[in-house]
Amino acid sequence: MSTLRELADRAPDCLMAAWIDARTGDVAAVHPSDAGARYQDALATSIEIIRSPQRPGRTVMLSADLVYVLQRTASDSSRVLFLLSRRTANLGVVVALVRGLAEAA
Amino acid sequence: MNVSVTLPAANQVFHALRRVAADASGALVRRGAGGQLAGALLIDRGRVCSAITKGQGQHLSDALVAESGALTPAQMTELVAECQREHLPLGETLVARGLVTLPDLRRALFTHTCQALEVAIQADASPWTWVAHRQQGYDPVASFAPIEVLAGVHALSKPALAGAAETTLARVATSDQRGFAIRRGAKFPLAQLRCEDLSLEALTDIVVQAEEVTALSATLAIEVTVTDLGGVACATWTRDEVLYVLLSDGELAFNRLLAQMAATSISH
Repeated sequence: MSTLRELADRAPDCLMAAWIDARTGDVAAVHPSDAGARYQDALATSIEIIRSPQRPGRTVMLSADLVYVLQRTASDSSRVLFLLSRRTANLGVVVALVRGLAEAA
Repeated sequence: MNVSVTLPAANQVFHALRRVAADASGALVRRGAGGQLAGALLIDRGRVCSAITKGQGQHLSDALVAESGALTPAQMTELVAECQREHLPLGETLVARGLVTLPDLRRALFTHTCQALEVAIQADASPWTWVAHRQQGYDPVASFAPIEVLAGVHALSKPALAGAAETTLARVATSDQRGFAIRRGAKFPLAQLRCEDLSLEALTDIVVQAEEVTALSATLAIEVTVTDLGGVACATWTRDEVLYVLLSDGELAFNRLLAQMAATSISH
């Protein structure tokens, strides 16, 4: 099972998971496959934010309804695991899940 | 006291203080057009001890009388004369004789320093220059972190906004957290809570990053951003014209801060 599919399966409120290349700003993979078009603004903005090498390894943004998680991988800081989710009651689990999968990737 | 501090002039102080090494002792000095001393900021091991300004209306003794509540101006005049005659330090003498408490003394020194610096900022004078000296020995109780003084000066020009920012920080922060509030576009804080050990360099880095993320994420209506700064978790949000920063250290700081911010109403 791919990391993105596993993330989507284990985070029930997940709307989109993606691998981002922060060096180029490209989306290397996205799940589900049509999510990139549906959440274009969220993805494009998140890419712009994480493209700066000054950004820390982990960033979580909360809006009234949504959670944006950006996690750099330990082995390659330009490789970023991104999760867009509905605001869930257990944010800690979602963030830990993204971190764990990014470290294992 | 509600006066107008011009930000460019105040930013000069900020930049001058930023260049002072953390363990340096000396003075930042400004001179008027005729070469006379317009203002000086005395620094002891990176901490601000006092500000001296030509033309400052209130003396330290006035601030001490105001803080004390038990001292009359006449008693203070007498005591100042005695201290000058006997070469005694005024503050320590007041505390030793039980006329002023240590917190009162600290508040009076702080108010006097901020007011003097505010007057120096407004003076038409040269840029600040650094004059090093080796004399040390100010009690940390009687000196202040640069961030404290800068926030104190900023608060003189925006007392209502600074008061609201202080209230918000005190409401949101737990007892083991630090935080500061900064007007959007400003270089130094409007209010701070337990940030005395935060360097001006670190403060600038945090603010630059937070401002960039806030601008980029404007279309997403982000309420709060939490980042991991390597052992320190940082939450940032904006309200009105103010950017708030809350810092949390320790084990699981990131998850704790995230849960705290998710549960906290920051919109009012």
